[in-house]
Amino acid sequence: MTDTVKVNIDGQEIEVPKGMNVIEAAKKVGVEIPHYCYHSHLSVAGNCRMCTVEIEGMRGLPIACNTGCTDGMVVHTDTEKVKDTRAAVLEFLLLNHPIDCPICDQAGECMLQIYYMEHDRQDSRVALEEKVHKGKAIEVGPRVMLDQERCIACARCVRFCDEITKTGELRLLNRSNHTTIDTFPGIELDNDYSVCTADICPVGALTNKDFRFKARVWFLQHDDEICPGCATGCNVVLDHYEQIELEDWNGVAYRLRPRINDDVNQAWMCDHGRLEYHKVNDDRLDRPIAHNVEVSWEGALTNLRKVLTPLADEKGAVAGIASYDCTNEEIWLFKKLLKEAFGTEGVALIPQRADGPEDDFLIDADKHPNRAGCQLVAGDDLIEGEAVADYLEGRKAVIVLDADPRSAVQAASLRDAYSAVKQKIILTPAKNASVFDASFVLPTVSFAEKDGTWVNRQGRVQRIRRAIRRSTAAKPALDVLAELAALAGLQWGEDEREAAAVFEEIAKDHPRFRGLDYDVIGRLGAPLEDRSAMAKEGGTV
Amino acid sequence: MDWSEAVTRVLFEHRDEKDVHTFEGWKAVGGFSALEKALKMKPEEVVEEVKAAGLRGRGGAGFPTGVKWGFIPKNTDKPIYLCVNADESEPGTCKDRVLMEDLPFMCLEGAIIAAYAIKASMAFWYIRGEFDLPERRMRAAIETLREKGLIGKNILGSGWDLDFVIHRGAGAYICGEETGLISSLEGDKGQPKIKPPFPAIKGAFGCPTIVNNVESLAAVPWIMRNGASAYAKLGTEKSNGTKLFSVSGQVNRPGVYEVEMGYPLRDLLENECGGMKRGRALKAVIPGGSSMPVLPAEVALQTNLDYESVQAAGSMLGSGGMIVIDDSQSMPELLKILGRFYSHESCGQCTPCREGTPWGSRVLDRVADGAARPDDLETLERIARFLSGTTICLLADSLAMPIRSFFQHFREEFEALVPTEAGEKSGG
Repeated sequence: MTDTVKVNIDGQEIEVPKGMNVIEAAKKVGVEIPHYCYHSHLSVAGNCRMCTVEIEGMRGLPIACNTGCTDGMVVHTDTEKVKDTRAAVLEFLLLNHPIDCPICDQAGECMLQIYYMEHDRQDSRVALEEKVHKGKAIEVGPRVMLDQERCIACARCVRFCDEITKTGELRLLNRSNHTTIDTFPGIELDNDYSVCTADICPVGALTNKDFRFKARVWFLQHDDEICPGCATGCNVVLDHYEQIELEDWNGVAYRLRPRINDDVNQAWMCDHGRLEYHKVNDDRLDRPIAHNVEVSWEGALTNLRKVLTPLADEKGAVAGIASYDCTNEEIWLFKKLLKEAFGTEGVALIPQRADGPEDDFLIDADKHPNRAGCQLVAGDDLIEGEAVADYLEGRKAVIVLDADPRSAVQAASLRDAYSAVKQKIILTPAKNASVFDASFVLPTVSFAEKDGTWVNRQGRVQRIRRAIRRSTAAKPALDVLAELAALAGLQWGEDEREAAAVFEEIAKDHPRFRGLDYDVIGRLGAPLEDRSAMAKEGGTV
Repeated sequence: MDWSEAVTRVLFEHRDEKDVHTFEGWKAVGGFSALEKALKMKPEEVVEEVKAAGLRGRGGAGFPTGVKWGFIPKNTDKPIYLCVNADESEPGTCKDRVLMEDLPFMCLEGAIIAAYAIKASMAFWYIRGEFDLPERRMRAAIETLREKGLIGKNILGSGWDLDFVIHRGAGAYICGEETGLISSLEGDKGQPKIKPPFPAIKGAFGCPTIVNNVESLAAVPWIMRNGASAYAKLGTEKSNGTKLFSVSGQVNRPGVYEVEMGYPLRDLLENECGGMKRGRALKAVIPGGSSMPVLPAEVALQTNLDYESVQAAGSMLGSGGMIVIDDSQSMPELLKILGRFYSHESCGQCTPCREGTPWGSRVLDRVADGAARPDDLETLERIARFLSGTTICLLADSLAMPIRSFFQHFREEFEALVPTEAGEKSGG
């Protein structure tokens, strides 16, 4: 038990752990103390002076970020003195600021703009031509741009590179109002997490090159997702553009940003993961394909019925291959389809991509988001590795779920065994090497267009969400699987293909998912049951 | 108090002896006897002795030196460091330079005793980069003491080791602030760190550290030799001992003088400094270094030189860098110079100081140069208001205090330079 203390913030009593800083304590009672340099996941710098408050019994205006709560502390965050000081700090901050909001990517999510409207709203006493000029549009690294004139020298980025990546590329240089952020000559801001500096930059000084001049942020919508880039499962926000009023609108993904989850990625994500949003936009399949001709769903299904109906009576004629990109729900329903419709025991799981670089922080060598979950849900039916080629032997048809058996990462024996199967039915959101000689290609949706769960490397179940709407013929894999079941004569109700309901089935059946449902998993995920037992059995947790 | 008797000298007791800046010279006047005595005591007893002497930090803050030493955590498993603050750069102050040039072994003896008292095994002599002769003197002194076995392993058979490293500053005023000094020593940009944690808990390289001014340490040998009570008898009730004043400006004999605490400012000007130059009238005195509030002549001449009296008069004793201003000087011009200094020396870390000091300086420039705008005095007052107490260190206050006090006592000089609404200047 940690010691707790009672504090009073703007008249509201609250109990908090002793020593918690006043900004965090105020958050708990819904009071936002404005701040720039303070960041919950970095050391305290105390230089922006925006978070000053009045505390009874303390002299002057202490800064909330470096003041720990003590028992009986009475904090006032909205006195005239505090308000005056905030306005003065903003006036100082804007004194030499170029006010180039119209061409600044940060506009709309800029804390200078937001706090100016909330706390300042006075005209500048310094003419534009009197301002100090510094460097603009500096390529401080391959993925980050620097504008020194917009910088407020809060040094969050400096602390990030010192404390989180421990690479120390950025420094505060020069003095007085010539103070600026920069790297030393010959040094680039080029670590695997460099774009995090743009996230934590409260103003438009550091911006994400990939996102630069792509969209105005106030047009974007924000949804919670999980980064699909590796087994870590960093919690992210997907920013995307939707036109609600347009029937035939295809949503566009613009960027991924880290979302705070102290059990997984704290407040960070890697630069590679950030580019994963391209999976939503690029190389998508918009219509079903039957024997290399684009067709309607009805056309595809009519043709498929001819293929699948005879096979339904022939036990084990149809094989199933999925990848570690699939959700738990998809694997569950896929297994069920294979078993109930085609009498096939076993589901093959194959990688989509080879292992890649890793580090001791967030980047995992396994570049799939759900290897652990797929393996768990496949359970006794799991077929992996060299066994997959044998498993395909003698099958008349194979259903491929979000996988690419022809890809160069697969073993030659698998590629050969796959080629030998006559009917290839592929469910995939994007073009891949296996699309071109498939009998049927059924377009499914990307991670950002469907509901489901993934299990990360820690054995934590996390939800992805349907955030983006596209008006193409692509459908969530769960729906397509249900339609295939119908072709084979099974009648699955609406409920049986709805992700949350499928997950309930998994939780009922599988001991390690016991006690979990979508509410329990929530925004931040939940650990699987009995992780120690899993580790003992050698499972991937 | 009767000041006609010869003033007791502590720091300058032997300043005029021949070759006192050499090892032999300092030894000849009883040097290192204080160190020998201290090393026979327990470190805690040395701390108590300095506490009892009532020695207060001479860098400007006046915090009791012994009390500061006592803040080092007991039983820490980290190394403890002593930093000697020889980054003397407050405009008007040049006392530490004189101490290091003339009495390097006395300064060093005091520092070694201090290191022993706080159980440090490593000490840094952080010296202002521009100090050439003092740096050479201190470097030579440290080398000599190393040869003589007074720095190094098992000093005087006490079983205690100490090494000294000289670190030259790179030209920033703010490195005289103790946490700024530590940042610079660590190899980072010289900028103050937020407190808490205080250096005694987490200082240089994350370890417990005491930062002491040269003048404070220089008094320690005398205290150890003559006893705490002898030192405590000097000065006033709350301001014990003696203090060096570096007097500059329009006096006949500017220089560094040692006087007992409580000595009348008028006497210092008239006796030691030989009165005002060319017989001009005194207009104002900045008693404690350029960052302290200015006192008009009539107040200054009634003031005694101790922490409490100067504070009661409306200023601060600070580092004892006394700037004497006669009636030929323009106050707006002087304030302009101060504005430029503090604006140039702001480390650029805290918002109000980074932006406020250069802004203030720019406005002061145009006021002094006859290009004032009608609301410039209000702007300056607003800047001064939000420079006060809103930053990590006191540099912002160091411009705010002069602005406020110059306005308080000499506002008419500024108003004369500001155009009225009609566009006319109100006077001369």
